[in-house]
Amino acid sequence: MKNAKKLLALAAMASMLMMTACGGSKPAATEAAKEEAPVEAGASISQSQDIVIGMNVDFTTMDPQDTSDTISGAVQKMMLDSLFAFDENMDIYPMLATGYEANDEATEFTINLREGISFTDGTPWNADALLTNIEKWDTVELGLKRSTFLSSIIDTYEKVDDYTVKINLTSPFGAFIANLAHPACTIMSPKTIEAGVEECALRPVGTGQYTFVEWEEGDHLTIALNKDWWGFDAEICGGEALADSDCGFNTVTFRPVEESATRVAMIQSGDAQIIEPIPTESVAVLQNDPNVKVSVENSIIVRYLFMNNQKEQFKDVRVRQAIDYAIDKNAYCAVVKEGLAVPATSVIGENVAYYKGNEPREYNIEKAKELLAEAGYPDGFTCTLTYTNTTANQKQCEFIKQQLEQVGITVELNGLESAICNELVQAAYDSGADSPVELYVIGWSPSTGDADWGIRPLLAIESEPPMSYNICYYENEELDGYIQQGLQSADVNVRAEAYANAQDLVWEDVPLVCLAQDSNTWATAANISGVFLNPDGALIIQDAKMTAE
Amino acid sequence: MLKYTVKRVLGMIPTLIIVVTFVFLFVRLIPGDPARLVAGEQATLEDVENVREQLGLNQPVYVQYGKYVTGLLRGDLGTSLRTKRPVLDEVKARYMNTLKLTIMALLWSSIVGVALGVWSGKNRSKWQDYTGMTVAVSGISLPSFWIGFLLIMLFSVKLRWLPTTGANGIKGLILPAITLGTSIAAIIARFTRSSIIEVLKEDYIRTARAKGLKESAVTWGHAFRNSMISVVTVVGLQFGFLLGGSVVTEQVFAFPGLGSLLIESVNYRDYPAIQSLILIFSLQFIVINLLVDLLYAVLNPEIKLS
Repeated sequence: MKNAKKLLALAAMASMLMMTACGGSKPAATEAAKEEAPVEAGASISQSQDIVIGMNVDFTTMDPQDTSDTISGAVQKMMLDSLFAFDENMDIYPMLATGYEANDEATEFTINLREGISFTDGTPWNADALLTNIEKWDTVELGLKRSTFLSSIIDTYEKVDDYTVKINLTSPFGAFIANLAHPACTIMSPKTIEAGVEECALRPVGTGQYTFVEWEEGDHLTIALNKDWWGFDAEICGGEALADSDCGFNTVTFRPVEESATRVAMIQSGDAQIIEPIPTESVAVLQNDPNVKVSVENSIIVRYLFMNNQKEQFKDVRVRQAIDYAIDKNAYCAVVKEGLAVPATSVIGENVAYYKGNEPREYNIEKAKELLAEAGYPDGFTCTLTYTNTTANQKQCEFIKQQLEQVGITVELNGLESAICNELVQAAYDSGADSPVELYVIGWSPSTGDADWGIRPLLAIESEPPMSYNICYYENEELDGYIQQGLQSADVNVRAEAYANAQDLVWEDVPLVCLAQDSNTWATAANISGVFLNPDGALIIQDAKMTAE
Repeated sequence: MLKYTVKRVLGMIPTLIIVVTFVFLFVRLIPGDPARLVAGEQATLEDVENVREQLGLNQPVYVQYGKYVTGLLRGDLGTSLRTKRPVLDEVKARYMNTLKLTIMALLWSSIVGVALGVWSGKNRSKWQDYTGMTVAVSGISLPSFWIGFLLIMLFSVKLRWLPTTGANGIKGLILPAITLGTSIAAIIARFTRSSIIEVLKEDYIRTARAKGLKESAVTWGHAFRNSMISVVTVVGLQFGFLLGGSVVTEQVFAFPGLGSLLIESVNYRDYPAIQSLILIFSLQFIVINLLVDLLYAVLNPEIKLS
């Protein structure tokens, strides 16, 4: 009996492995969504429609300050507006603020607030409401996941008048406005905040386009359209409304559906009108479905191969460059990502602020062998690649192993369950040389959309584990200098130069191999337009419209 | 029988104490730091320490154990580290879903399984037997996720009769229940068949036939009832397993049941949730075993409960 169960489980596992191994045909080359024709005014019937969105993970909380996942952040942003926000190019635009002034040292920020807005519970939006929010951001004792995100930099804050607030920072922080556009800094009603953290986590109230209806964990979360949203009002928006008045759906129900094949079936059957992401092997199938519209766009997630720069072999820059030469990035995108990625051109993604592209190193085995020989490793060496053993990681690590074998580097794969892997990688070691991690794969998406959060946590000396993610144990004073220069200025030109230098340096010194920049994929019913995924992976339905079939 | 029941119920207490203690200690032996997992990706050390304090994970283990046990006595299962909601609330909704699904799956699979088993067993080594057992072996061999996807493709995508996902109403339960029940129906069919074959060899069956009873009376009145003892054991065991939630079926149908909750809880090292779920699963098994034992006595009065 027991054995029968075990056998069943084994059989199921074996067949699952086979399914992933032969997963589908290769989709057509990365292409943008089929061109969207603008919907004529009055032609959208979306506001009378109830739609379902299938996504691959469940929400964790509705409290922005306690959120560390993109999907929860995205749905919060439909209900809660922020002072500043990112558009689809990751450029910042003002929402509940109208603008700001900063001193040259980037320590004082004066923020002007938009007038004529109320929270959906009737509380007016003004300086007092903002102060209540800042106070929450600044209260580390609440123990929320993003408590230190702003509290460590905010020093004092004061109301200048009813619609102006001045914030003083503890130290210069050039990316402050980008931080305010981070999903953790969406604005909640003071009443909700005063009702306590549980209220914030379960029943969020903001000024947004949608209001919260219900959330049954593991099953669904529903939001409803707020027809009185200020973003529909051109006057409050200062000329042009944020969204056409016929945008948005009557209600939107989100369903966490982890199984990719089921998500695909949902949109094929009409059970869902939007799904994200699309499993790579199903992109081609959905592209051929006349009732479905498929979109593939660049994300800001970059995939890296980390090398522990304090281990003997990787101390030599020639070895690190050799590894970069030895990995065929185009093949990586085609094989590992099924064409849904492009080779990386910098340590940060194209849509991150202050991105500067570099020429990728051409795949060149001979050059790699030469460099290895020069560095004293003519016969290569053996090292271990540690990773979290998800299917996707397994695939990419086997690819890396195969590539490096061509130049004589033997890679031993060490796939671990995610919590165990995190503990191993993030533990405090006396120095990088003591860490058991030699090679490591990671994907990183700077959720502030700013170069700072794409470089500092990965490569600054202060970010070595357990503090943050400099698992490369890379220690370069010059790079730290550029990072600080970018951090300590609010001047766009100064920051651009600092980050350009930083990116050039990283490209030359190769503390990590930048493999590829992922693509975001999503699908909508063919009669829906105006839905997109931000490069940071957040779903945006602000301008969504639906025409009759 | 009442005395026996009371004795058995009291006997549960030491088992539960052992379960509570062992599970509490064992979940903490799994490597992996819940504070870091809860703090999430991109969290700095400061964030992690902050979260650890907030969750009470920086307290000594015996203090945490004391809190947990006193909470249990008050009927408080603790607060989930992952969602910060009371574990009881989390479990309640999912438990009802799993219970509904289990009952539906078990109901149809018992009826079909028993019918198929009796039909095959009665006609041993004839075409009926071969047909029945081919169906049964197929039912065991086909992986449930594959059956699930086929059902979705047919009934949701092609015919659009039933929803792909969710646990809303009877309609949402049909496909998961078919998926979940297929292998169980097959197992029950095989047990019923062999049990019927055994019983049909007994002397009292020959006597019944010799005294001229109709074949249907022999089958259902004599053979069936006596062969049910082993079948009830199997059904009871399956009931226990199914109440633990089925990870594969829940995954395919995005069904909010206990299986997916346990997996998520383990991934997050959500100690209070893992402890509570395992405690509930143990409790279920103990109760079901008791019910099965009581059923034996009903089926066969010769079995004395003592």
